Amino acid sequence: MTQKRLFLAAALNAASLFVASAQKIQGIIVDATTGESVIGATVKYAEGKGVTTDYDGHFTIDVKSLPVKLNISYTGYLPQTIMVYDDEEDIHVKLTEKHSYLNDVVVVGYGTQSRTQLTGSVTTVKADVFEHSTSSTLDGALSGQVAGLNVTAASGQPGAESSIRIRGGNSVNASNEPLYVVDGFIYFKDASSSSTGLGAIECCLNPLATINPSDIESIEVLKDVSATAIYGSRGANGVILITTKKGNHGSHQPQISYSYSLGLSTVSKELDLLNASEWARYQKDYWSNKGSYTDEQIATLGKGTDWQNAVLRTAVQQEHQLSVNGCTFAPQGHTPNGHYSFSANYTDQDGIILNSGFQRYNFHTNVEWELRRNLRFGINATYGRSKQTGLTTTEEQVYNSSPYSAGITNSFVYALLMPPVVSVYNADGSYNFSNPYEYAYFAIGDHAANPVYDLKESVAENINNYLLTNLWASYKIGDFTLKAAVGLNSEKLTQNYFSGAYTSLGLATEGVGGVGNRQTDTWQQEYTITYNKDISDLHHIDALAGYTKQNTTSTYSAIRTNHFTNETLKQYNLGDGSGIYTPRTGIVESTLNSVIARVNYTLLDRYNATATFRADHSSRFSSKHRWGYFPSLGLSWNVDKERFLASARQLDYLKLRLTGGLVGNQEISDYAFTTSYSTGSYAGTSSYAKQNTANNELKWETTASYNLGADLGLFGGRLAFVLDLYYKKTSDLLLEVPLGFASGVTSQIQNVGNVTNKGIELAVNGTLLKRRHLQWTVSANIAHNKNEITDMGTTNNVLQGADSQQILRKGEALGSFYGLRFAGIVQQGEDVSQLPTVNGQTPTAGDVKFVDANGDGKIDGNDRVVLGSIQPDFTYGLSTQVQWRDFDLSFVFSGSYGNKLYNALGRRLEQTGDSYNVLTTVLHSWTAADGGNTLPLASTTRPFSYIDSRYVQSASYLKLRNLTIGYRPRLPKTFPVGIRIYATASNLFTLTPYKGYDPEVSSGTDSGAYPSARSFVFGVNLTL
Amino acid sequence: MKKKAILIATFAVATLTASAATAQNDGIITIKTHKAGRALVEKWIEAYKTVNPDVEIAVVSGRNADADLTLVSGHQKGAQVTRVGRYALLPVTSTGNPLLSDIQRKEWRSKDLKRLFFTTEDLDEEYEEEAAGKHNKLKDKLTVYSGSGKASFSPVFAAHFGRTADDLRGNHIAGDDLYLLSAISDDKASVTFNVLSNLYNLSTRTLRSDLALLPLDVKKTQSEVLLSGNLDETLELIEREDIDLIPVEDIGFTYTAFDRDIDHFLQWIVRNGQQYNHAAGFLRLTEQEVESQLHVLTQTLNN
Repeated sequence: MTQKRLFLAAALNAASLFVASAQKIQGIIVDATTGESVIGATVKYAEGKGVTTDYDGHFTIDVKSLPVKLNISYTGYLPQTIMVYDDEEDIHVKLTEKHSYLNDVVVVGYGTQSRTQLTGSVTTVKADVFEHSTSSTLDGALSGQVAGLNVTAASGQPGAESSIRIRGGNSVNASNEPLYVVDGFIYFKDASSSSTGLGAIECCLNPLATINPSDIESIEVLKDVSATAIYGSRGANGVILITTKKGNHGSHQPQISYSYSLGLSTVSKELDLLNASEWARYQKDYWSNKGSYTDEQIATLGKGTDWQNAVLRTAVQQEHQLSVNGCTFAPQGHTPNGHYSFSANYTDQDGIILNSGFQRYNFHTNVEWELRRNLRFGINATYGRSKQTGLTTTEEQVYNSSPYSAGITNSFVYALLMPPVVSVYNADGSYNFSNPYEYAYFAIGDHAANPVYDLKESVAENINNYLLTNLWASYKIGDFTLKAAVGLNSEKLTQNYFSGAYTSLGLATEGVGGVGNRQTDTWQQEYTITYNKDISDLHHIDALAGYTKQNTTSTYSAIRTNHFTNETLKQYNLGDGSGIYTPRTGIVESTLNSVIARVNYTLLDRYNATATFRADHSSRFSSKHRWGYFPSLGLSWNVDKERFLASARQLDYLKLRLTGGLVGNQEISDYAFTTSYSTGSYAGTSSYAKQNTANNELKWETTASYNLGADLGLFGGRLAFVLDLYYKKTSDLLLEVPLGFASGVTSQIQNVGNVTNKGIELAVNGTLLKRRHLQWTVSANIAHNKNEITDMGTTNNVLQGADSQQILRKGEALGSFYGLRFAGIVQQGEDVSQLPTVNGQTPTAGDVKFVDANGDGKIDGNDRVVLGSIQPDFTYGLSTQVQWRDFDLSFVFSGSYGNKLYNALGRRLEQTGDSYNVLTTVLHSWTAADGGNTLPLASTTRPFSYIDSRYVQSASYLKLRNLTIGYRPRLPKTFPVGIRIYATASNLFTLTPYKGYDPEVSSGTDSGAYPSARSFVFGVNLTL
Repeated sequence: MKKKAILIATFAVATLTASAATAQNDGIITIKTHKAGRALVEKWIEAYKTVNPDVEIAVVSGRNADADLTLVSGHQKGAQVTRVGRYALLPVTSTGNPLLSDIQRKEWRSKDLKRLFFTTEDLDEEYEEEAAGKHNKLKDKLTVYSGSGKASFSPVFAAHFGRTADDLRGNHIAGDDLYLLSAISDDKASVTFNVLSNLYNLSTRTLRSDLALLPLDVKKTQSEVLLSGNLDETLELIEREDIDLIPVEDIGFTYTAFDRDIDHFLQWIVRNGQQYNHAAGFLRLTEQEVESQLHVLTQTLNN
């Protein structure tokens, strides 16, 4: 029996050996981070044979003998080599995702490219930037992230647009906004597309509000001509490529995530205005004391009504975000044949001014299938609805007596001007419409406007229903890929406006209201063929050719009526208004046909060349100038791959780049090349007025651009630098040139003048700590740009702005401020005989002094000089992320230095009088007793008709835009949900010498912009 | 025809015996072990059978071989382990390593070993600066080899330095950790770590002639013993003194079934088998551990 058992055991070993001789290697490949199986990974063994992993990540290989070397690879992961010495157990391989610069694949126009082969200047912004931002639009999150990209908010209104400049502004009257391309769909919005022509609404809806930042996988900012030339006539201002999230490639289980956030916002800064006692004293001392206040009464008035606080509030915001993504498999299939991603988002953000806010519903899907071998098909679609509730505006008028020209631009500004001795409510709780101090603009009889009522009861809505969809198919034949794409961007914008009879805007007309609609449909077709080939190990060629067409049709209508007898239904009962304004209706059509071509060539993985060409045919120009041709050439050299740097072990990569070419700008209004007329009414009948006179020579604005750049990586990914020098010259500016009376119009768009931009950009990314439980990364960037108008033709010295505060002048920058240089206040006993006269009068003690720039002994418009410009000397950003065990901390700083801002609101609030409140700085006006050298005697009528240097203020700033602390609790692996909780503070502090609410005002003139908010948001992310 | 018949017969026998083994019948206690522990297990079986001649115990191997007992390293999650000895891990290189003189010129501290073997640095700033100057180049020139299999000692080595096996840099191999020594023999400019039973020639009781230990920054007397290459002195040193730079972990048996025969066998190993541990390159259990394991075994049987 014993012998039998021994034999059995021996035989068992023999059997094992027999089985082993089959040399069957089995294993599983998983993602090192998530632990999910990697499907479709390639496992090659030394002889060159290979297999792919199945849908569970498993593989099986039969080899003749051991040991054997396995080379394991999968797209997006670092390859791994493993030596197999025996087959007694399954092999467990963990693949790590690629994150290194060298392995990056960059999205470029009409394709992708390896970063090592790139010749252009392209900066990538990853999804985590948007995940850590609380901004409802992507532009709000971009500030400080990219060297040379300057984001300036137009307003603190939720959902408001921003101004984005990439390497300065090129143009005077054409758009300076970059081109946006969303998943291949060219998404350009001019100002007219966000308005129906209704007017009276303070703020425009941000065109980018249609894109939910949480849907963004990455953003590529194309800055130089080698990268942007493929977009030809629309590439001059830079291009921002937005890639939305696609389904993941790893697991057959869909990934489901949900997040919710709730936050509070308050105004980030308040202005110091006089309180009731101070205002009454100021009225008694310097003006006619309309309130007949005695000293005793003044002492008891106290603070009175704080109108600033009355119209501001603590605002609530919340957001829900649900996303599902994954991949699909064919029956019996081992590799994914499709990817899908779906998201739904709801954002509800109250504004810090009463009755303002932003709401958005957004649904996004991105689906891709391999229908048959080599045939792929995909759909991207976004559908949603944005609603922005804003402020009504007094609107800019050409005549001098309008509230707007007096600096009262909206009800918020009017609230700041309200005397603090006037109450918001009566004793019975009803609104107080009595204001004995108002006699200039917003009072009729004994009824005066009440800004709190204005804000609460007026309607100023922008509602946009949008669909952005792109459908594509591609077919691969050998080294060629054919692709066709058709897309539609359809948007229906509705603007609702109503100001009742007791509001400031409706007071004179017994209420006014209106409704405007604009339907804009943009169709895009693209047909491309690409060729991708490696020839031996020496050459790589990637070529693209194609045709694209984009045509846009926009129809609009707007109607306004006034004199209402019943305001219950507001703008939904316009028929009640007996006064009817001329209805506005119209249609605008434009077409752009383009031929594109690009060849990328790489030799020895070291020397790269990119030649790009685009020909555009635009309907916006005269018939003989419709074709524009935009070539570019880019060269780059991967110096690190040269033998002489082979021993430089600390060097990860070093690349030099040189590019040059032409790009254009066609973003002017349609039909600017032809004569057009506008309709109106005159004496009860219809009338026509000439709106534009034909310019048969109107053509492209062209920018010649050159870039020299270097990319340097050191210490195994620990430190990276990107340095760029550039020069851009924009010729044939699309400039609005004043015309003589005989033309029938005041101005015309002509190709006149040149603008140059030259600058330097530096970006540094570093990993300061990379320990097991502690990682710290820092990114910083700084950019300098010098903008100059080098030619203005015969139209030099063009004044712009309601106060003629800006000038276009050869030798100066775009957005230069123009005014008198303040020289102080005339003091008691000062020798005034040598002072220049003002309006023919010699200044006396307490009067303002200005510099007599032309030395003619008098102060007038000829003494105005350039006082700086909106162009910053430097813009910079700093962001950092710290990960310590289960906690994460990140913050983003951004700032600018050297730019100026015209503080029109400050000027208005230091204008003394007997109607409106003023800033507390007025308390320090010059007096005979105490002097004072900034503001003149308080009773002096001001301001002077020209702006002066006191109100062209430094808008340099440093902002802590975002501070986020997150915690991801460790849960048992069996727990089905991953959790992260976080708290984010936005706009926590701003260091700036600017005296207004916020130094960021994109127009350069702060005439009472919606103030920026400081917000605190708490949220939770759940992942299944 | 005759050859074909023999082939068929051999195949049939092999298949039948393999099936029989898989079914774990016939009262044989089957044991699965890594190569490092095989000599020890075989010695225990041989000695045990001298006093229990009726018990049949066999070592099995192969992917499909199931066993009653499996020799494992340290603590296994979710499994009951009867500890039967201990082992130590030492960092080692090949004597053919062109950088051997540089390696041996240095006394390797814990920080140095972490920097050499692992991908992430968990070091203080002062050391970062120091290492960036002197030792960085040596690290860059040396390839680390480590095992990736379930039975590998890599997790134990990594855990001793506060890391996980995923943090080990360099190349991984699939297969028994014994093959790590083949790997560093093929790729001379490399280092690895291994158990004493693999590093030393159990017959001559000296370090294998093709290997060289990395000199550790330990007491002089300890260093002299380690560098002497004498297995027995090394084992006694590690048993006697707690040396921070040397990972020491238990070995033990997990079991798929438990009966009186297995209990007796394990009790015998814990009580009497310790005397053979040194011979096979393993450390003995401490007296406290012996008592503890016997107590657990008795309880397990009663349950």
